[in-house]
Amino acid sequence: MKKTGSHQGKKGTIYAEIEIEGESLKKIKLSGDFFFYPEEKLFELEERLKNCNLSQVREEIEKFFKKEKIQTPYLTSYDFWLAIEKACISNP
Amino acid sequence: MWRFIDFTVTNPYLNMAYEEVFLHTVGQGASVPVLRFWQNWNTVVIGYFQKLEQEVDVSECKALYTQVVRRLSGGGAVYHDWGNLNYAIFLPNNYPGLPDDLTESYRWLSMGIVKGLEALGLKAEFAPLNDLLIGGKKVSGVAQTRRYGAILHHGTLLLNTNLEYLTRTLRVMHSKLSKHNLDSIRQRVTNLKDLGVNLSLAEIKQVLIKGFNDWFKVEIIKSPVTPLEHRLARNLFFEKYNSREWNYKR
Repeated sequence: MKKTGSHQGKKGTIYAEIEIEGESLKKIKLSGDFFFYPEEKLFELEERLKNCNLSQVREEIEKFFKKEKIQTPYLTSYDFWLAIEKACISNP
Repeated sequence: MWRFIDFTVTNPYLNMAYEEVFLHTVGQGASVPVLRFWQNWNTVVIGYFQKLEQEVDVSECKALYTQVVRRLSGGGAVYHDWGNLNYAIFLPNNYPGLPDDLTESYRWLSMGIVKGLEALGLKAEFAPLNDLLIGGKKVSGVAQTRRYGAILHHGTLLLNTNLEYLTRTLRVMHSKLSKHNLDSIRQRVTNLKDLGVNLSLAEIKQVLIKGFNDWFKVEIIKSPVTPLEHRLARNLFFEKYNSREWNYKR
């Protein structure tokens, strides 16, 4: 089931396009006008979240940000989770 | 010493390829730091993570012959034309004086253009993370990318941009405008010409360079693009920036 959601943080809007199968995230694409350093790690984060149980997504994002020392000026890992959460609860 | 590269091509996809080339050459130590001034003709440039159809009014772009290209840095979409001057600074990651803190580096690297605007008689204010304002209106937006051992800090400077085209081609979320208590993007931005700057482009560039000289305390010497840099840019143009795969990446 394909769904989209967005969240406007302090500096930037994050769009999440997701595909859910059962209780898992099958596909995810994050886009928007935010800054994310190192840039290429965003695509690694998307890979990491594939097949992740929805109840684990927030924690996975947090862990990824810490491990990879992600810097997102004026945004936190929670902002990215909020975009995904909004996609999850949106109508397909 | 820095190289000053005053180099523009009319093709926006090739212009963007040169941005990546200078990141490579500076990051690999094949070039000293670079200050580049350049322009695009009637082009929307989207941020690295943006989805093209979400940020750009594609039908308006077709009607206005506006081209769209993705850049290497994050942030939002911007409109370029001959009334806009792009400036780009390429530094190695370990450049002396560069703040470790990311937000502070945006401020520090923006000060060259702030000093240049001061020399034009304008009091510009850095609004974190990436805006330069004069009298509360945006005249410049900046973005950074960090790759290949180098930092690219680049920005736009609205001299006399066609604000009608800018408004028609960029989709700006209503919520983003309402955050600034505005109805349209046109209320948020202004041209230097409307602030009383009536110098030629060449004169403006000269004054801006002085700002960079003063802030970074370096000699900035005009330098040509090398044959190797031209060759690398041509390759990147064909393989990446001119491709649908790149521009519709998200």
